Amino acid sequence: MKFSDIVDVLDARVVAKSTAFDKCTADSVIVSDLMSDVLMMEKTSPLIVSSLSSDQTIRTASMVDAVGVVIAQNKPLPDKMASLAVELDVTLLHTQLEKFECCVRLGKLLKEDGAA
Amino acid sequence: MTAKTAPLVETSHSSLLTLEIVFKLKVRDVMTTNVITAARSDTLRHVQKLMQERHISGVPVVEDGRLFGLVSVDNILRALDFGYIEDSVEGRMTRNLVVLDADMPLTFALSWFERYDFSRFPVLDKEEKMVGIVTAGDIISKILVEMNKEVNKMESDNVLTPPTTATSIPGGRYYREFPIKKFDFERGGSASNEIRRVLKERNLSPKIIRRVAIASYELEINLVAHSDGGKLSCYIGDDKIEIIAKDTGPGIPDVELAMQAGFSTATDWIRSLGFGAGLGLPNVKKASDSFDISSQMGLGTIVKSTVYLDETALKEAVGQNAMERR
Repeated sequence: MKFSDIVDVLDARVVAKSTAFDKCTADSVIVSDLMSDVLMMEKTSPLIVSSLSSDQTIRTASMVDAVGVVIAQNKPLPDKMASLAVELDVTLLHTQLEKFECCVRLGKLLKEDGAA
Repeated sequence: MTAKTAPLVETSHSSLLTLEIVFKLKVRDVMTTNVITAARSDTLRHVQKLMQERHISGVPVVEDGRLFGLVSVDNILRALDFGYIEDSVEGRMTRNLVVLDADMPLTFALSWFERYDFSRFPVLDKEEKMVGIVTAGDIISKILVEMNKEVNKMESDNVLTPPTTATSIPGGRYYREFPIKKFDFERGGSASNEIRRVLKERNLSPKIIRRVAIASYELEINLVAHSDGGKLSCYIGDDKIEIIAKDTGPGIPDVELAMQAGFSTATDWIRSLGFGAGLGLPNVKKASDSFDISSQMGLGTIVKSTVYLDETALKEAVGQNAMERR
């Protein structure tokens, strides 16, 4: 999944763009509010969808080489979250959609990508 | 309820000294314990007099330590406006209260002053009995007292703290220690981010970097959430990377239990930050080729995670079985 498509299907706002924003693809999705769960999963180039709007979500994303983070359910972002995302080179998206709706739409997108 | 725009203590722009003070204090350190309270059967008039005589703007309604509500100046003004000042407190007090836990770090209380438009928060102990009250004034006074103490101490010591020890030996060896403070969730993870950056600079394989980063991050968060503070150190040798977390207490009563996935002693506010699911230590072990833990109550805990850089080193150190597991 390219970010241009992810932003489109999730109707998301781009808060921070990583340097690889235009060229990288998310090959998997991790949906969790528990960062220890995220750290335990072994997925390639994951996109993290969470409603945990915290600096730790960005730090965790960086640790697992996630291509980006989607903060769902319109959770307000802490002041420094965007600058931390830029510092750690993690794309940060913000959407009003609930996590389940994000999953449905991203699942469809992954399927389409697989079929293409 | 509206969100306040100006935070009580702007942690992002404060001096290191202020931050250190804020991070080491708990709610119980700043709260006022000698609280003037009212009973449910008291009249609002009685509370109004209490406020006037004692120059206070909020009176908790407490019986036998149990908190039932709070009467604020706003409640009194309304009572005067609408003519029910002689009513008993019970039916007119504010019941939906936001309270603080006495053992919460002060940083947490500060964030609540930002989040809620309240001037004071009652403080409860573990048995849910009211043990104090915290106002913005209490926090600022305590910080000023602590700053004064620190400045006096610095003047009498007249010793500068040495910079963090960092040794980069030619040939790729590296050693650095990161001091980690208790409950410093704001900076929690920054040491691991730095370790990861150093590993990336050395062009190590992404898989190795990821395993070390995960072990380091979990150990760092453990130090922040569960220890009284300690050090996270990283050693990059010719054939291995070691991450060591060493703290000064309180120690783990049952290490075997702590190693079980799902076991956690984390409090709700640690969980609210996305941690405390009881996966930390098992996660570190999973990410490591070699894992050691030793803990003694009252003394502290040391955890060492080793990741070997190549298969020969791994085989020599931990044998064929571990290699297959890898």
